[in-house]
Amino acid sequence: MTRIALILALLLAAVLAFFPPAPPPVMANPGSQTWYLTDFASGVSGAHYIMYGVSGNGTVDSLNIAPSTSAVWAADQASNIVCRMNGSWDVTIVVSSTDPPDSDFTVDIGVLSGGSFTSKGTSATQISPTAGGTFNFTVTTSGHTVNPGEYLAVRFNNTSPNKDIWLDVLGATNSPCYVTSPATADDYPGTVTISFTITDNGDPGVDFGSLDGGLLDQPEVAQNGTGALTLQVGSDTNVPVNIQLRGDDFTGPAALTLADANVKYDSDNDPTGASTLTTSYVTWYPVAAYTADTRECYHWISVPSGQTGGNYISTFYYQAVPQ
Amino acid sequence: MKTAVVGLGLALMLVMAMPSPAVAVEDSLVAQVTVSTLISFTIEDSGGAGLKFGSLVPGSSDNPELDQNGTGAVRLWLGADTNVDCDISTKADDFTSGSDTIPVGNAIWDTDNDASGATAMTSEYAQITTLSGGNSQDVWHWLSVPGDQAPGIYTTSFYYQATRVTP
Repeated sequence: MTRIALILALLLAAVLAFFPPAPPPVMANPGSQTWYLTDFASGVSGAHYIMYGVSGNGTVDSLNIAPSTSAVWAADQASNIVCRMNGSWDVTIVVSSTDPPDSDFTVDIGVLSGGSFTSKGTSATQISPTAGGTFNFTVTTSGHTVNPGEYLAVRFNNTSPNKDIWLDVLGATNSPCYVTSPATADDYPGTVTISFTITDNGDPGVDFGSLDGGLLDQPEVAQNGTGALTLQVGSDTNVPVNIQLRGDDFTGPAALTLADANVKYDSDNDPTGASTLTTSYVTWYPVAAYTADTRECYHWISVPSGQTGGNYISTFYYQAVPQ
Repeated sequence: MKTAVVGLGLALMLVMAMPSPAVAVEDSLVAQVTVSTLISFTIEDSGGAGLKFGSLVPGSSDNPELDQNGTGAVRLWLGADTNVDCDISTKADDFTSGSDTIPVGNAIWDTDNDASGATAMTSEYAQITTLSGGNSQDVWHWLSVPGDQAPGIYTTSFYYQATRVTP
């Protein structure tokens, strides 16, 4: 009985693997998010510690920041999308103690990429007495974009030349030290959304009509003021994408490879300077995140001289793929 | 029951461990082109114009066309610019002289200069061979005259055609 239950469970796993549950709805601005600073070592190059989104705390109430040094916290996940994090961040820092009589510090909020922290906003200098205290202040960031693969990051700077600072990151469930994003910031790390639409102009498919052998650069029959098709990337696409295309060799009464047919594509109605379609995906053009882009796609074909008469069929493919 | 719970947990862990599907949005369209069929077909008439069997005696059999010898009575050419394979066929009408006729089947054809094994002409197209562009086929003809055939000059038309082989 228990063996059957185990088998059923494994079957359920296989089914769920092939038909995964639908992803949660994408929320560009889910409201404020909070990251809790801990003393857990970060495995991300350029970061000392991890800061957890949603919930998390550290193990000590006396995390030492030496004089004239900084500590960098990286988010527990890299960004999946282009996260726009501009705005006014609420920062809470709890200093457990400092060297007397007082010490100075600042906080940067920014991006960690390739092992380097880049500040997108810096707080005013905070002055802590020896007994420490809770400091609530804001950091306004600008140009604060965290690209896919980069990390949201916070840097604490002990600006005192000769005084140690100790931070409390213990807490009961959440660290007392945390930063909260503006309500207008994007969901971090975010879910990838790509909006890519192909409009087939004229009759269905890419139709080159009836052609004699030996003719060069013959246009798709429907293209004139518009392309054979129109490619559109929606402004809700939240990652930079490359638009790629490819085609299969034609099938018909005789061999007709894509190379022999010299199928071309371009964004204007002039085959001069057009590129040649290949059987492997090739990037045609990039589109930045959150950018609506509409482009016409014109196609031409050349029929080799002596090509066996008849109807030839191929499939042309178009895709938007994250860069 | 405990095993079932463990199994379900294992199932969920497996699902969570599955990598996310590659994020790319792809669409495709069928592309097609029709390459026009081009058939270039030439009948090369050996010797004098037309097919001439000369003056024949009633009851004589398998009399060759006058100009055929090393070459056929006709040579059928499929031009090099022909871009499909073609079936080459022939047919003929009955020979007539006023109200008198010689049945079409009294004429025969073959692809070599030997009447034995030749095929009777018919009023419907019959296939001789299949050619691809740039190739030719010689055809030899013979005529048999029935023993009681009335004298006269009998004429007819021989037809040759090239039709695309059905893909």
